[in-house]
Amino acid sequence: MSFYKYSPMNPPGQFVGLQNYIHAFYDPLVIVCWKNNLIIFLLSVLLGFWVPIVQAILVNELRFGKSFYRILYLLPAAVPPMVAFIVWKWIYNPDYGFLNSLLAKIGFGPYGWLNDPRTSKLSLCLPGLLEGGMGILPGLVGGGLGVFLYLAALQGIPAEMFEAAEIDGASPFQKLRYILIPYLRPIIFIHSILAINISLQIFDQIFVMTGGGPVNSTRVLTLNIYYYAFRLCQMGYATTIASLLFLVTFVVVAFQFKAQRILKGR
Amino acid sequence: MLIPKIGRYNKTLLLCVYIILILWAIVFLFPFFWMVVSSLKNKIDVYDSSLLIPPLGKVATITMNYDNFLNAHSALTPDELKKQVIEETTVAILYILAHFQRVYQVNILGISDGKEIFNGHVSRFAVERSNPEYLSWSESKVRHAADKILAQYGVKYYEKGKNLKKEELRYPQKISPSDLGLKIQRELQSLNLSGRVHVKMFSSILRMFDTYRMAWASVGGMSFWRFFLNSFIYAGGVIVSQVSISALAAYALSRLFSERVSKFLLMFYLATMMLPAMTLFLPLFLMIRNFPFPTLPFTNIPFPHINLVNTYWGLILPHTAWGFSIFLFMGFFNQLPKELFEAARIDGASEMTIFWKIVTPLSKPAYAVVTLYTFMAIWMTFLWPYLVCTDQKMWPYTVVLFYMQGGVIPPNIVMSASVMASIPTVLVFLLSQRFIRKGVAWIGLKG
Repeated sequence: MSFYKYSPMNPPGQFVGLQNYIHAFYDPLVIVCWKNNLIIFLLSVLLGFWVPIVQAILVNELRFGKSFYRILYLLPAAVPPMVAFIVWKWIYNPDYGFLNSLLAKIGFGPYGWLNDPRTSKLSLCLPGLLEGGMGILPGLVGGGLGVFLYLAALQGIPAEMFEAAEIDGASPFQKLRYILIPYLRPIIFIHSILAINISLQIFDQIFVMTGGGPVNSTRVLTLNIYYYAFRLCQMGYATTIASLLFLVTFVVVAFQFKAQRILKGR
Repeated sequence: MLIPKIGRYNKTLLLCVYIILILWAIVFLFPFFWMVVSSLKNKIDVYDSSLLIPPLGKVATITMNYDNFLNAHSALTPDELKKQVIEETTVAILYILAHFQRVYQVNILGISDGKEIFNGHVSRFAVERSNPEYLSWSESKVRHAADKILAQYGVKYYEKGKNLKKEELRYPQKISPSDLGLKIQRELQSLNLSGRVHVKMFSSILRMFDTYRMAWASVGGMSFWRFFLNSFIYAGGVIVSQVSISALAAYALSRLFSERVSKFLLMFYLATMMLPAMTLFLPLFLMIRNFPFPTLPFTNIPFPHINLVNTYWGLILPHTAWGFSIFLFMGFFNQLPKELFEAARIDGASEMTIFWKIVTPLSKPAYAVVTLYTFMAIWMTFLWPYLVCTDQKMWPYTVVLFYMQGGVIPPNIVMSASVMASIPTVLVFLLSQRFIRKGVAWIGLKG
């Protein structure tokens, strides 16, 4: 469909060959989308990737009250993401939201979190830092359930390794580095694939929280596809962008698999 | 693990771990707390973010004392007296509701010469739901419609007066020391009502939950049941199709094909998981609009098609089978012992018999896990129903929440709707911990 100038009334419309692709290459809006996607992806990785890992490691250490903490840390995953977006949008409200009133008490000026082009991407990724679940990595194996995944993996590590290390006089940090991380490597790999996929495909969060962002600052590719397809009814062009997105996802995942094979070979 | 469980360990490190975890939990559970708190506030307080605890809902009990009223106004006929008393009652009630946002209910009691003239209670929720225009105060309008209002809200007027049930009400108590009560009393007295007004305030927690009652019916006049039903039907349909088709596919992949073919097909199915959702939704939407083809491919001959937009089928059909569920089922079926199948085949059972009679009863945990995951994933989707359902009757609750948060509906009602929407998910999640853990363990192992 991306090779056509699609007309919804009279499908498939006029064949235009690669013209859609050339247009997508030079379109400033699409270039902005690529940039936004990249920045959001980097921010989400920086802020949200290590959160489930750290949380799982910490929760694993507890002596008593373990099930209580486990339920507490899984609660963010139980709440529907829409609810989380709406609550965070309300908290981020520059006039009436909680964050600005809290900062006002401390003394920092009010920030326009989601309405300011400079901070909108950061505000989108911030919940991921706090909850490891509700931010940029929602869904099945994002943060909230990510903690579960890591916990399950951590419990699969035989205890004798740790006891042996303890006998050898290893400090907790050395145990972390030499035992835990190697065991967690396959899970971290899966998590990274899912992180890239999900961050390339986010739509709900951005649509609900900013709807494209002030001055296109949070406009990502999926949002672009939506707007071109359903608001402007340029279906052909929208499928062009969609196939570009698919290509990029494919390339990135293939790259990751190759990288893993190389690392394993080492 | 990092901190040894037996023997000596670093106590301060363990303490640090506990403190970090508690602080982190407080921070990320705060939005939920804020959601519940906001849902219990009233329309004005919800915009005030410094209130961490919602102010307690107040109930004002007004006693209007009409002793010596008949004597003072002997020139008026009984009907006119009654009219005046009714008007004043209504004025008092609606004045309070319109000007004091923290009062959620007004109980009114009229006394004259030791007998009860009128009695009733009017809650803010009842007024807001039926006639919100009374809350924008206009004394003449209220006086004009006094009869109707009283009848509508169930304030009873006794012509001859009824005996007071509680004797102590005959003598109103001392002025209540609360500021709000005093303020209300002063303002009511400034209205120049003929009866002597006495106000006593009570606190009521139950009235604060009226926002939930408002949220229940606030979108398009339909109650929230309908939206949950839509979500339920959507989830149910997808689960049925998923479980049946994915199980069969996984059985074929694990037992019927050779290793290479099944591995290749599995990779293919997993690759469909990697596709961006948006890439799929657009062609899917077009297919749904003219299902199955608008014209025969590569020709212009029209093909019989139906428009599935805004129907349940349009919602369910694209989710017939996910690579994820095939993956889960296959992982489970691979664990079943091969001898079982060989024995069954020797005994002459066909493949379908094997599937139905042997594999299905054995794989109940797998069915449970796939059902649960599918349910959670569909219950929380927003994008596909948003594209497909153009009619308000068909919206699942996620789309409803999206439309509620535009700004027309007061935030406390939006928050109540969010709380109500999240309760089923949390319940399901807490009750099915076991299955989730199993599913997660499988993903971890197979990945």
